[in-house]
Formats: sequence, C-alpha cells, structure tokens
Amino acid sequence: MYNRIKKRTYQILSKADKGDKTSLIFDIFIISLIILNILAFVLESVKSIKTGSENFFYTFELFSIVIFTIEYLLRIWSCTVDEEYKHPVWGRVKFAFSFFALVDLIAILPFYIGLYLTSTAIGKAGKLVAQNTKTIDLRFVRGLRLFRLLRLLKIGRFSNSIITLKNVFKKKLPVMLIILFVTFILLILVSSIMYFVEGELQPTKFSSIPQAMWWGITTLSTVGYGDVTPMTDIGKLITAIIAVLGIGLFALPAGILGSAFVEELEDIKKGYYGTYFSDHIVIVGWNNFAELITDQLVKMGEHALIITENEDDLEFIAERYDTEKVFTLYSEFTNFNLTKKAGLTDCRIIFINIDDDTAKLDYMLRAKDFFGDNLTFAVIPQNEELIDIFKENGAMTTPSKYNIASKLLASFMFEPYVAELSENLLTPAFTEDEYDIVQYSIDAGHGYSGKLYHELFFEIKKSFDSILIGITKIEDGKRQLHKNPEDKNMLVQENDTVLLITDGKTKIRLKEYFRMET
Amino acid sequence: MNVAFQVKDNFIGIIGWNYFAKMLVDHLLIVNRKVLVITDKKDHFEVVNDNYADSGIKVFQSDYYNFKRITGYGIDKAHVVLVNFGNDTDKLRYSINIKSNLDIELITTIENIRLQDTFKNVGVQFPFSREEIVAKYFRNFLFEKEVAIYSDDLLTSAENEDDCDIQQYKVTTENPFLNLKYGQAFIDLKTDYNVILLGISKCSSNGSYKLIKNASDETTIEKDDYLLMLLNGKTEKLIEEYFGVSQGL
Repeated sequence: MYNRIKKRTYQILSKADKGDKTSLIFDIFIISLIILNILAFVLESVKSIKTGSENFFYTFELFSIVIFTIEYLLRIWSCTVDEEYKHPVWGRVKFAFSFFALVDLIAILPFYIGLYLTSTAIGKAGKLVAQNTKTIDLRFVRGLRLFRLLRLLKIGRFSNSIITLKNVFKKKLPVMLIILFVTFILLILVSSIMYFVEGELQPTKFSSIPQAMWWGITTLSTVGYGDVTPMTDIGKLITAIIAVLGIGLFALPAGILGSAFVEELEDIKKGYYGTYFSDHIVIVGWNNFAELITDQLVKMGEHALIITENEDDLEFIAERYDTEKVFTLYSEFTNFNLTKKAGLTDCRIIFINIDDDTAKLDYMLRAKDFFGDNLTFAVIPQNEELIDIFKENGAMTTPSKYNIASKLLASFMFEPYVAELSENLLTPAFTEDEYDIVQYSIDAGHGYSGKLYHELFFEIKKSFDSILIGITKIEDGKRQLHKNPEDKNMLVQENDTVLLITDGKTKIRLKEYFRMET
Repeated sequence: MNVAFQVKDNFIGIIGWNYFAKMLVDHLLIVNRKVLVITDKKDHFEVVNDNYADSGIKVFQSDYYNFKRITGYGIDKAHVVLVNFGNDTDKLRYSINIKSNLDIELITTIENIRLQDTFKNVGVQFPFSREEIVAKYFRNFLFEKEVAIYSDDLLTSAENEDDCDIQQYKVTTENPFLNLKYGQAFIDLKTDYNVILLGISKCSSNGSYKLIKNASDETTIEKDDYLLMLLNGKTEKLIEEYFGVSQGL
C-alpha cells in the first residue's frame, strides 16, 4: 500500500502520461502557478499596483512557497521509485543534486533564507548594534527575491524544448569552454596592447588593463558603443583586426549550438533518448506486416516500440502514429547496448519481424546471450518446419503466414459468409456491429463460479447477448482449452477462463462484470 | 484436350504454383475439394503431378495468357479461380486480361492492402491480404493466446470429431427452422445438438446477401438464407442430416 501510494505520487509529479488525468491536472496547476509567480514578480515592481496590495502579494507568495515546498518534499520522498534513485539514502541525495531538483530548491530556498535573516534582524532591532546589520540584511533579502525569477526554470520539467536546450548545452559545454578560454586570452592580450598603445594619449579611458578590457569586450563582440575609441594609427589597426576576429569568435558558438540543436533533434527522432514505455510490444524490423501489427496494437491502446535499420522508416512512422503510442528506434538490430537504453528490457514481448528465419533465430540467440533468459520472444516463421526449433529456443511461435492465410482462403472459396465471419472475429471489436472473441477469468467469489457451463451458456446469451464458445481449465498443471464442451455437467470454477463472442459495446460491460480481462 | 473436371462449379482453379498454393491445396484436400492447377513452369508441373497423383488435384502446364488453352482445361468451369502470382502488378494485369476473356469468378491475395479497391474494380471478388489476416491473428496470439488457438481452430476445416469449425448451411424447404425465429433455433440447436448458431446471412429480394452476426431473437429464418454455426466433426454429420443439405454453397 505504502509503495503503491509512493509510486502513484511519483507518477503524478512526473510529466503526465497520455490518459493520466490527475497527473495532467497537477502539471497544469504547477505550470499556472509558476507563470502567476513570474507575473506577480513583474507587477510588484509597478509601484501603483503594489501600493495597497502588499498583503495580497505576500499571501500569494506564501501560498506558492507552501505548494512548491510540499512538491519538493514529495519529489524527494517518492524519487526512490525510479530505478536510478532507488537507494533510500544515496538515491535521494543523487536526486537532490539533479538539475531540476536543484531548480526546485532554488525556487524555495531564498524565501526561507530571507525569512531567517529578516527575523534575526528584527530580533536584534532593539539593540543599538543591530541597526547596521538590519540594513545590510534587508538589502540582501531584496536581492534574494530575484531568485524568484528562477522559478520559471521549473517549467523545464514539463517542457521538452527546455530539456533539449539543457542537453545541447551539456553536450557542447567542453567546446564552449574552449572558445570562452580562447576569447578570454585574446581579450587579455589585445587589452594589454591597447593599454600600452593608447594609454598615454587617453589616460582616462585606457588607464589600466582592466579599464582597456571594456574597449576589448565592446570591440570583440562587435557591439562598439563608441564611448571608447582608439586615436592612434596602431590602435585603429588593432581595433580593425579585433573587430574582424570578433565576428568569427562570436559566430563560432552560435554555429556550434545551431548544429548541436540539429544533432539533438536527430537523436530524439532516432530514439536515442529512449522511451518511458513499459510492458509494451517491441517489433524488430519494419515492413508492411509490421505496419499492420502496429495498427492493431494502436487500436487496442497498446504501446509499441519499433526498431528499424532503415532511416527512411523514421519519418513514415512518425507521421503515421502518435509518438505517445509508437516509439521508433533507429539502430542495428543487434546493437543491444543501444536497444537496451531505448527500453528493450521493460517490454512484454519482442516480436522478431526479420525476413529470414535463420536471421530471426540468430537475433533471438544473441539477445538471450546479452540480456539473459528473461525476455519473451514471438516469431512467425516463414518455414513451417522451423516452428519446433523456435519453440525449443523458447519463442512463442504461430503457424506460418501462408498457413494462417491459406486456411481462411480455403474456407472462403466455398463458404464466403464463414470467411467474412471468421475474419470479423479476428478483428478487435469497438462498435455494436463488430464482434470478436474475448476471454475473461473467473476470479475468486465471482457469481459464475460453481455454475454449470451449460446453464452459463444461456445466461450469458440472455444477460449480455453474447455467445459462450469455450472454457479453459487448469488440468495436470497445464491450461487446457475446451471448445464448446458437450459435457452437460461441466462446472465453471475459479481460475477458469471463459471465451465469448461479443460485440464491441457489450465487451465493456462484460469487462466490468468479470472485473478483469486476461 | 483433357478437361480436368466435368461438373461445373465443383472445383477450385489455381493459376500459378508456389508454397502458398501448396498450403491452400493441402487445406482443400482435407475437406475433399477438387483443384485444377495451371502452371507455366515444367518443374512445378512435375512437383504437383508427383505429389498429388492420387488426389483430387489436376495440374496442367500452359502459358497463362493462352486463354483458349486454359479454357480447354476447364478453368472457366471452376467455382472460383485464384490468381496466384508473385506480385500485385502481375496479378492485376492478369486479372484484367482474364476477366475480359473469360466469365469467371476471381480471387487473389494482395501484398499491398491499399490496392484492395483497385482489384475489386477490375472484378476480383475477394482481394485478400494475407498480411492483414495474419496481423489480426497475431494480435490475438500476443494478448489472448486461448483466443488465438480457438481462432486457428475455427479457421481450419474440422479434421477430427473434436475440432470446431464454423460452417454455413443454406436454408431449404426441408430445413426444420424454416420460417421460425432465430432465437428458437439458437436454443434448439444448442440444446439438442450442442451446435452454436453464430449468425445468419439474409437473402434479399435482389438475391444479394447480408451477414447478420448474432442476429436478434426475432429474426425470421427464411428460404435461401444461410445459417452460420459453430460445430464439430461429429455434429456436422447430424446437422447435415437434420437440415437435409451439405455445408457450403
């Protein structure tokens, strides 16, 4: 229970997943509060607005601080749900030093520091010696209020653009530092030269090297305020050279950051930052068939992760599907380090959709070597004779595509309505005109437990206008399927599964009635 | 020239031989259907001839576009003809040609599902996407394994007495449910024969049919309608006797 509450808290505090309304409402609330805080900060600087509204602004500030403090504490408490911060102590410490946790802290800490300093100063106000301290403290406290602006950074947690910006700066930090270092060296050098060249003629403007650095910065940055200008010929020549150099030096970071943004967006598109999906279906290899499978999965509201070796597929998939539902990774199939990072190990099933059967087998064996035996693989072999080999290696295996399709076609040739019905039953039903086969578990204490199968058949028809077509029972430790059993004394028992033909609308009612869908 | 089968509508025609055709023929043989295969490749001709010598399969070697010759083999008498070439373009080109030369019902498998309407427009009765069917089947397989096993069984013609199969039976004047209500038939078939009535294909005045799945109890069963039922190999024989008609068309 405790862990469930913690996990839910973490989910609500994290960026909302699609469909998680509570989390979405929380996100909207926090973003609105941040924006209102910034607005209040700006309006407070307008004297006519502030006068008479001090209490309102103070109460709002207090309310915001209480909310942000609770949010911060809840984040620290629940962060251990995340695998990265799972240690109860060091995990929380690591989390506290993460970028956004520091932003959260900075958003509230100045208020508490200010509160402490103000109260200390007021406490000492009666004493003569405290007069100066109070003045200094309150000025410092006013300065601290500027930190309120940093609350804007909190929005970054909910904004992909700000996260991208952060990643770009993080990636290019070493290069940027080199450029900064070179610029600084150049600035020192030219400012020193100008001090010697112009110092005598303009003793007030080039009185020292630091003073000359003001000229250096305005020239290097090509701003050129004009308040400090060279008068000697050498000074003018140096200024010309520095101005030209400045264009290059200042354009360099812009170019680097620009290309870094492009690279970053490409990496995001290629799926290199992974996905939050879990319990999803992985499809290794993209083709027409993968597209049909993905269509089915999306219809069912499932998440799919597609691994493709063809870069052209990325655009097609991104255009066709909601990226919240279908995630694409551009990678060699056997680059397991990358596929692991992208979320291969948290999936429910890996469907190996590579054309060649031996390549499928090879992929499965390599993946098992890398990840161990915990993954579940599914395969549709091209060759029926290889089914047993795939099964022996632990893959869920269906008959070959040709086998499945030829069965339906054979049926269609003489019984077209049977084929139509069979095809319809294979398709997920969503409306009352569509039917499919569904299975439901009989859990402990369910009203159907202990009833005769034969009686249940008519009861389900009467109550739900659905057709009971079979039941599975655990027999000798294995689940056995009884298709339309003849035995009139067969009982429906706990842990059995019943199979029904039902329409898309009734399916929802049945799901509620059976309390779960297997 | 040898005519494969004398009786019209009694057999299936397959133009082009490959692994898929082999699987299809194997399924058709299970339900004792006859098949006429036309291939333009000598090795395919020999393979079919050798492997299906004592069955209801007849194979001829011919140029596919020699319509006079394939008519001589009786392709125009087939109940339905499967155009079974490698790619959609060849299938489409051939379908247009054969439809303009012979009056036959065509079906074909297609690779690109978006071409379904195009094939229908040139007169292919059932452009069938293998990939789409398999994708639907595979979805069940991933999420509801028992459903997939059941679906697989339903797709397969019943070989053993315990295998379940969906079958259609035409309502003739001998049918005991003629002019009775669907709800009554549903109860009687389950109670007396352990057969599940799944739907009815209603015949309209212009001769076209509309499939009604799990029809309402008040639907009247009329002559020429088709009843769709889930039954096993054992009950199939009883139903055929009871209805006075064989399964199928």
